[in-house]
Amino acid sequence: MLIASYVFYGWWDYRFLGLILFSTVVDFVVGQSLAFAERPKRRKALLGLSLAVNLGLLAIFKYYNFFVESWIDAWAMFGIEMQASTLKIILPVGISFYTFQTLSYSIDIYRRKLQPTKSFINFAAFVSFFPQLVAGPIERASNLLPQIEKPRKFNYDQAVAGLRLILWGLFKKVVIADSLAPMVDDIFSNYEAYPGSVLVLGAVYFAFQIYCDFSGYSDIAIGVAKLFGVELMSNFKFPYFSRDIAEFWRRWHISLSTWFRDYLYIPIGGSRVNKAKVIRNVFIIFLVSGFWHGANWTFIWWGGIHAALFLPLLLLERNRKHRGEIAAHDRLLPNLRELWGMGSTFVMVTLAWVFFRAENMTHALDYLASIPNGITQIPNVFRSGLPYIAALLLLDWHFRKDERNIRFSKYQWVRYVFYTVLLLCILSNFSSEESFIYFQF
Amino acid sequence: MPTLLKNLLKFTLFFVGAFIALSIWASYNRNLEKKVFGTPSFHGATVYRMPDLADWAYAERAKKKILFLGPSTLYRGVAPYVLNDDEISVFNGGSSGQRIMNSYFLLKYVLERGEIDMLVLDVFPRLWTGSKGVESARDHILNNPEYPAKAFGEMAWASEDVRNLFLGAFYAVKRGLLGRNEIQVTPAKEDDYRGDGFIYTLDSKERKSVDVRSDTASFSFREKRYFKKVQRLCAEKEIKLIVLIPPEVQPTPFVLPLIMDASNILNAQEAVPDSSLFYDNHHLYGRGAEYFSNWLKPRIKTVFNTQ
Repeated sequence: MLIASYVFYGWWDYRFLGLILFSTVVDFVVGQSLAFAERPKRRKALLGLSLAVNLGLLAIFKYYNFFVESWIDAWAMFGIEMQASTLKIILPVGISFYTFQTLSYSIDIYRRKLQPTKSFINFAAFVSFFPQLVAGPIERASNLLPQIEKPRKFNYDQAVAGLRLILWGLFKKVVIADSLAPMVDDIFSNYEAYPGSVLVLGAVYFAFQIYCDFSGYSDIAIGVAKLFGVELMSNFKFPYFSRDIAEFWRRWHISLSTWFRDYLYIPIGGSRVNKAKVIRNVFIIFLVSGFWHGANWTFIWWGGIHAALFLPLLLLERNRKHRGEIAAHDRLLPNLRELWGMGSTFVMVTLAWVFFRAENMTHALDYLASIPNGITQIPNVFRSGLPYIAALLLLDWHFRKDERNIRFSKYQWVRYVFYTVLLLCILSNFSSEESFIYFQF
Repeated sequence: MPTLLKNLLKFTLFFVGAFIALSIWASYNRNLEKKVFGTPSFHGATVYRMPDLADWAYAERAKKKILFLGPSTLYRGVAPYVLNDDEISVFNGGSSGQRIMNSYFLLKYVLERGEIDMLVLDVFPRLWTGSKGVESARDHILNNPEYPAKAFGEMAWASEDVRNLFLGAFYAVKRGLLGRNEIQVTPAKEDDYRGDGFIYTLDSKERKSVDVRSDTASFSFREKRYFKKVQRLCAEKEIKLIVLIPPEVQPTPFVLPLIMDASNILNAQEAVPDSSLFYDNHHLYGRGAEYFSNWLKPRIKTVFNTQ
């Protein structure tokens, strides 16, 4: 499994294998040393080493140019011209994912929640496990490492569920996300030329493009892992059926939001501090989450908007209202209240996506400001994306009770027809030129 | 595990059956074909060139036969009627975006039907990196009445593109099984197909600005691999191989790959000094093609006479 993972990663650029190996060695040594270190000072120093190395790599490869450019811009605001050189750095694919994964290992050992593994091979396989290496889900050592360490047996039901998830993930990525992508690119690039109704369409299409792109990859990763007898954590649970923002964040990119919750939000006090600090903590976690996506102010604003949307629910203690089952879990259709909740949440999330997709803040603000012009015109272009969205919503609604069980019907022949239709759609839309959005993060 | 394999086999059979049924239906229903599989297009006259190539390949070797292969710089740049005479018979097998991989399978296709004396391979340096020949492979599936000849099936496979395989399977049913190989396309207004694979680009084609590339082109691993295959095949069949670097307004800098025999390279980058004969940096108008073919003729003949 380790060899397969390294071949997989090296296929993209073998030079970055050294980087992942370096990160792996550092955290393995830190983990081993923490097992024997009793003095708190030494334990802190070891944890600091892991944090410095992993976050340092991330800072250099992902954020160096952003910091330099922001520094120059800041001085320019006071009329001071600064000279500084930026670097031509290639962002190693998946670096944000695997550094967080190795960090969780060191932190859990530091907190004495996890025993370090004695096998370097097993640890290296945990860091580089190829199905989820480049775009998550970001796994915890406590979940993945024991599964790698123990002997695995073939399980028919697990393998079949895995194959179904791979097929479903491919459908979402190849058929829906890749079909919406050129329309989104066109609308966002030429937003001045289109009426507001088309801009709304562009924002909605992007909401579904990014969902299908990213959750499609996660489904494929979870499905492939199942074929190896490994259960990865769920990353998406039908987030667009959320009835408020708090529920949205329990259903969107779960592996990242729980990572930030466990390793950042709770350590800085979470919601068990005074109100001023709660507000600070909420903003910290959402801003950092935005910044994790990329070195651009648009991502930070995206995080800030979500913080502003989430905060009222937290302060009014309504953030745990929809903790359990999904909307209409015991009914075929949602009631009016649920429909309103889902609709309003989707609108808020989609407006925030404009910041995420825009090239810069001016682009985002201009795009949003242009929406009222011609909002009532019925779009006569780019309507071909609507059937894809309708199909996705219907199927997602059908599967909504269990994101890991994509079993269309109890009748085998109906399932065969369903899989055949999915496969034909995938094959007729397949393009070897497209990539995944989240590879860049 | 055996249960999974058995069920996978069952589903595969079901899928293949459904695919064949859909292919037959789409073969008789243009709308369905367009929606699921796509629509053939003129795309550099492949639809006319390929039947001509088959005829040329089958024709007897009364004269020395010279096959040209390469991308659009070639099919717009070399006019066989200028080169043809009592001694040689030329065919221009160029097509859009043709990479060395595509050229290799086109050469195989020709050699499965007859013999040739010389291969002139246009290796335009700007195409040395990047795509894997997916576009050209798709062109030779979609717009080619000779598909599913074996070499084109192999080309589809070598393009490593799932959609090409999917299209390849459909056209194997439509043209191979059902014999429905008529292709209706609308020719481009400025492109006049003049036989033997050549497109005479009319002066009415809009002139584009010249884009200059300063990056030095070098062979990708894939180009090297297929170039070696072409070399091997030519050596096996005793075919003279000439590498042609096509004319450009602003020559693209390149590093000559070590695997090329320098004595068999015709560097024509500066062979057409008049930029008005080009409609962009590297595509010649029909007038330019005639000029360039006249430049080429004595040089090709010299190679024959000296080797």
